[in-house]
Amino acid sequence: MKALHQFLPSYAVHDAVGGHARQIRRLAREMGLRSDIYAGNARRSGDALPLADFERMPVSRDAVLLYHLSTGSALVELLLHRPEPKVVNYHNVTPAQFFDGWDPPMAAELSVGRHQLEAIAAAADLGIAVSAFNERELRTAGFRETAVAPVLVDLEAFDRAVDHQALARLTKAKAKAGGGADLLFVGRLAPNKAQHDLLKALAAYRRVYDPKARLHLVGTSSSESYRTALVAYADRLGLAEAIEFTGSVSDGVLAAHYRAADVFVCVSEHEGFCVPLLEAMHHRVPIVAYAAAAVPETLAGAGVLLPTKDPLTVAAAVNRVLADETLAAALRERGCVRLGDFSLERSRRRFTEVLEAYLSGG
Amino acid sequence: MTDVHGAPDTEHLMAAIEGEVRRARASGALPQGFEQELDRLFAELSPASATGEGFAEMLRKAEEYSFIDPLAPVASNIRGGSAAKGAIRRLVLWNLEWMARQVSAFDHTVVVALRQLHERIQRIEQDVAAHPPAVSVRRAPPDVTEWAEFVADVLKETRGRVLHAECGDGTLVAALARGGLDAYGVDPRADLALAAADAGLDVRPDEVEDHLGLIGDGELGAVVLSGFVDSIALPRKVALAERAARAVAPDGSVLILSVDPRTWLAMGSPVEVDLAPGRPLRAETWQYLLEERGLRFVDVRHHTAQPAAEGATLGTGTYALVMARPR
Repeated sequence: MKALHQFLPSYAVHDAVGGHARQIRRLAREMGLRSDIYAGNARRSGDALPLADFERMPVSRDAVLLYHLSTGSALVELLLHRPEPKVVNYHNVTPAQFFDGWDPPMAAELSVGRHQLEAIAAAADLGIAVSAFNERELRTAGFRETAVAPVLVDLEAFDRAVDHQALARLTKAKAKAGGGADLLFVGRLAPNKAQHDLLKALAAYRRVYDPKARLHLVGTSSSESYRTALVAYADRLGLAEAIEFTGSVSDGVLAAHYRAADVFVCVSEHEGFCVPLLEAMHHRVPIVAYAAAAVPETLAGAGVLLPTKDPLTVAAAVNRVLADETLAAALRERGCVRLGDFSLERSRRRFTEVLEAYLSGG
Repeated sequence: MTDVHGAPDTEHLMAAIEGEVRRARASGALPQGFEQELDRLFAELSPASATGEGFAEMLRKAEEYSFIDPLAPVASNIRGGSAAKGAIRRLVLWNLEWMARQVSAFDHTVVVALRQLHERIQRIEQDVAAHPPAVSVRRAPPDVTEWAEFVADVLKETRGRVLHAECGDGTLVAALARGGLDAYGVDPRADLALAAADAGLDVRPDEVEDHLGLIGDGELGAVVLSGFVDSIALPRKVALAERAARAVAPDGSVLILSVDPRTWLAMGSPVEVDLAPGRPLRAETWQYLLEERGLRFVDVRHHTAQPAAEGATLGTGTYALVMARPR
């Protein structure tokens, strides 16, 4: 085998999958393989190459095509028509029903993604999942050979220079409100991430424990109608002043939010891995999370894991973490230990093992 | 709340959080109905299919989306971008319009077909036994007082919330709450449920199946089913067993408080008994249904026949079946 080329429906420099693909490219090149990233939205001048460049390349039995599957894409058809051996790196496709009412076009795209997972299962030699949760889905979809290798995340990249202006603004807001806890969640505004349940939890938390508490929702939106409903909901609950919808932010502003946060709260209903949990551990922010999909696996005890997201239970858990410094410190320590499992060195080693076993036919 | 190694002691931590939730509810720190109001407000802002609402509303939405607009927006942040996009739009509009008309026609036809299909299914549903009869019978509230002590004892170690469905006036909910459990109830008879809520109990007016359908897997500590389980049709009973079994956490319980079918005809209101779409099941059958769904048998108790109170659905020849989800 002389080459390992990767394919993404769309490539973004700051995206977790984009960073993962870059790390794999580096790893493959270190193994002496030719390796490039091809993406549907890439331009020739960018980090990834346009698909047209790949289509012009002659077929080579010495190349492996690694497809990153996270949504529906016309790319699958292209790959299925190529004779080169194929490997799928599965990042999970959000079940379409989460978007059914909110964003039918998105639901349709995700639905296509799930069908494509089954279609490509027969053609792929191997499915690599970023979590055991995802591996189970690969098996269900029909993959014969599967392996788990975590997302390759450069944890040092989390040490972004804090945007001091943003941090000052957050600190000032806290002082102006006369205190109050800062709850944080990082992730796209999306129905499967259930930010509406975070609003409910904040409402309960403010009512029972801390009337000055605030919630920061950092991340761009996957569904405009869901975002609009969230904003209206915050308004109807009288929480408009207590909830910040940041939209897409720079690395520095993201770091400022982690620095200012008292607790990271995640009530997502579907996550294939959830990189922000690692970021929260890295920034030593204690975590309260609802036990759904891959969250318990990623967290592995490094946070308070709730069997329900009943608003009062989430509020009580947040209160417990904030009121008990020994508990918060223990959670931070567990976070540091857990983070070690995802160190780039360790994850690269695991990915190399998987790749070498595959390339050697083992 | 950490162990000797300084790691969080999960078991004790969760018990402490659940205790805190019970205290907060009991103290009235969260006004009665607060969480239901949160749900209601969000449901008002959610599209129909996101909240599991009516098929008709979904069809309306599908019809709305069936129109394909060939006029792409031309706004642009790039200088001259708008003009360029406008020019491209003018160039390809005839082609897009031709395609959009065909796609819209296809979509619209599909929606119309779905609407007709929906009407046919509605007619079929009205004809089958699984559908509630056209005759509306107001069932008497279940009298479960004879089981209150037993249920409270069986559930005394329960972790998490305990749901009583249908709970009527909340007698059992009150008994369980007095025993320190985080109990709540649902009942479709709004007047009963609201009266119970006015009395300070966490009782919500809701259909049991709808309510259980919104609860995630393993979210509850226990589910107690009584009253309506006797009279609903068999398909609903099977679906109910499925939902209840899924709703309870490992170590959680499902309790069935039911009338022995052998005494069913001889007791209760004749009108109610005659017009009920279903009949009670024997304890062994509920046990079988719940074992099929991963629960294990714990206990069954029978109360032998006693004089039936007028209009009562329980009170004579009744049983309590206790099933649990293995850890």
